[in-house]
Amino acid sequence: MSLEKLTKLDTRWIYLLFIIVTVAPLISPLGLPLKISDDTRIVFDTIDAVPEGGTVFFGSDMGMGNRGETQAMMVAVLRHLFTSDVKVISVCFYSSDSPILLEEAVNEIGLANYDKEYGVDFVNFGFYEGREATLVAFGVDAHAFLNVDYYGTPISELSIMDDFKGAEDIDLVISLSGGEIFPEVYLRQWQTIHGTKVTGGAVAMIYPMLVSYVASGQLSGLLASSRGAAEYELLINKPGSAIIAMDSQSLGHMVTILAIIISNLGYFASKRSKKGGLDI
Amino acid sequence: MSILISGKITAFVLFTLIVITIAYLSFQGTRGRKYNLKRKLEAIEAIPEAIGRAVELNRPIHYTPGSESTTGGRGTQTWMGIVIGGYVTKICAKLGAKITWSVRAEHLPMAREIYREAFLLEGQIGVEPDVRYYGAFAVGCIETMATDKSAVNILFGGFGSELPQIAEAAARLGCFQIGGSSNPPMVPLVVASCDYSLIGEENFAAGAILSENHVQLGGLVALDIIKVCFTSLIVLGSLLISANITALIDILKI
Amino acid sequence: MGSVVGRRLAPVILTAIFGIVMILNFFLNIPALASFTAEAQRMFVPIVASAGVVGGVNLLLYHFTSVSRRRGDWPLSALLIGTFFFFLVITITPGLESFYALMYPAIVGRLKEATWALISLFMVSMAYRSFKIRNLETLLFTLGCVVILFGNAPVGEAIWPGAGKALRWFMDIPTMAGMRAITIGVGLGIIAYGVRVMLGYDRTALGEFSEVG
Repeated sequence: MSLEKLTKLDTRWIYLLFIIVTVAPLISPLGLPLKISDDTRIVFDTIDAVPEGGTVFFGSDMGMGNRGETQAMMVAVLRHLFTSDVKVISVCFYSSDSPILLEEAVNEIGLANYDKEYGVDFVNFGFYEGREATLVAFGVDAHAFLNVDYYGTPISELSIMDDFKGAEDIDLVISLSGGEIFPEVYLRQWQTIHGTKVTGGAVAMIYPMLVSYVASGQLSGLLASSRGAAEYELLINKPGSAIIAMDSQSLGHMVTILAIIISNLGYFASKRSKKGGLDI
Repeated sequence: MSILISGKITAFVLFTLIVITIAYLSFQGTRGRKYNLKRKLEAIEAIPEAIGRAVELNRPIHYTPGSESTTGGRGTQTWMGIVIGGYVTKICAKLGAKITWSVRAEHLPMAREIYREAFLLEGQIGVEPDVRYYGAFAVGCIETMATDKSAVNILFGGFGSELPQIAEAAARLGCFQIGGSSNPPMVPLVVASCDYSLIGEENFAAGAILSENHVQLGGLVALDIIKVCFTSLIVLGSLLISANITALIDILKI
Repeated sequence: MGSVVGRRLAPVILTAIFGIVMILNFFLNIPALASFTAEAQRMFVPIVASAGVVGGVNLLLYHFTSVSRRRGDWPLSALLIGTFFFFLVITITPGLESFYALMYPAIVGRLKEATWALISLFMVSMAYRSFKIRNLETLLFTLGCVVILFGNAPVGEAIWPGAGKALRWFMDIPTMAGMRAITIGVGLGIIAYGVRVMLGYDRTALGEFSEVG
């Protein structure tokens, strides 16, 4: 067989192989080993270090599209938060999908399972358009900015907001970001002005962008996509969908490497034959 | 209470110097100073060629400035995309090519104005802008290229995760692609999928170079001067900190 | 004269005032600046939200025209219009919130996830199509890609124990250097663009394509 034909492979065969190797482990998990990275441990320790009675701002800054990568991350982090005696306030600035995903995650966890009460220990204010500008307005004066929560409850009836004014009252920001580099926005608008600590997670596509903020210490650790979510599930000892997906991720990556190898074999073979080489 | 905020004084001084440099050299451009840049951007040089090819094939061009919002930290990338789009449209008007823009809702009014004005500058009055708005952005762009059988796909601006979808689909449709993004996660994808690409601040430079506007070129020269200064500062800082001298860092933290 | 001032000068002057005040507020501790900035940011929210309305109206106009002229895939345009009003009605009708909460993730959510999932397939085909080692640049590009894929896959570290360290080095040194360089460059570009807009040298935002100079 001429290796040159490898450059003209119908990509649908590669798609088929990719789909098979990513779906099969979901049906029959392989149980491949997983090491926990330093960045994930730093996120865990940062959340653990929030003082009792402290306030955590939870930025569910993702859309339905990246649910597969970030939902497990959100569930794992929220589980960890709800084991501590902290207040969790959430406003979504990225997409109207975000509060729906947050609600789904909270329903999956069950506030009652952690002895938490909505409006007292946790509140979801839903989505506000305007991205960075809205985030700034919230940080300056949350009560002037918000009227009701996601379910229409007036802010005056939510005791969690009694002593909360804005960004200066936040002990930690957790930004789980999909598609847009949201942790950067919190650093720019809240950390530089109020010195707020920021941590979070991001989808694989924007993770490299945020690595420099981790190195400079501006971000206290960062969860890397579904792998970060799987590591976090191990740390909190609650295995979930992210760990199950790791086998798929491993094999998917191997198929991509195989595609690169095949493509280069074909390319070098065609180069050689153009120079008058032999067909192998 | 001090007016100056501790920890931001050096940043304020540096920012003021940067603004003064850019403003001064841009202002010089309004006073008739000519800036002759030797910088060549292959991607920009390839645009007229690509459009000419589309005209020969009698197929349209697809242009998108991306789906990022014009507000926020990456808004200027989208503005740059709209500016470059204007010049691409002007070239299309000149060469008689059909061009379709795919934009987000908030870009719609500007995109339509730019489109109309680009044709107007080439003496074509009353052209109805073919500017389409999509909610499902990537799918909309792909559908446009597939339905219209676009020959060329040009993408400059603020892109998120829709870029690999649009670029890869365009490649499968056989489109010649020229693209650029200043969004760091998208840079490798642009380079991998486009035939010609601009990365990082080359996109901002492209707007200036295409316009041949000496005000913008003045700003570009200012940026180059500032970048040289910053690079020198980084090298100096690295050397000093390697010798355990923290003076520079202490100054920057004031 | 009035139209020149209204159309050209006033927007530029407003942009400059708002821009300068908000930038100065970041660096200076002046209460008047802080309250002006806070008020401006609050005003901004409804303006941005209204852009969605503009987009929605344009979407409907385009697709109504497609249906009335039986242009192209007009049945899909009709479906879009129907879906638009369906979701509009269930969103704004009191008592239908739970129905919306059920329908939106079930229909739109799943479609968005499917579209996002396509990215993985596109990435694989991009890797197959583009990552050919033609020169030193593409060699480094491809090597980097392979290191990251191998290191990020849990099985990668099982096959080669050094994969994690290689990944870490790659992310901490060359990737970070590149990202920082691009970030600094983009940041400076943004400042330059802002200066041009506030000085009125660039009026693209006003829909004027031909600039001063």
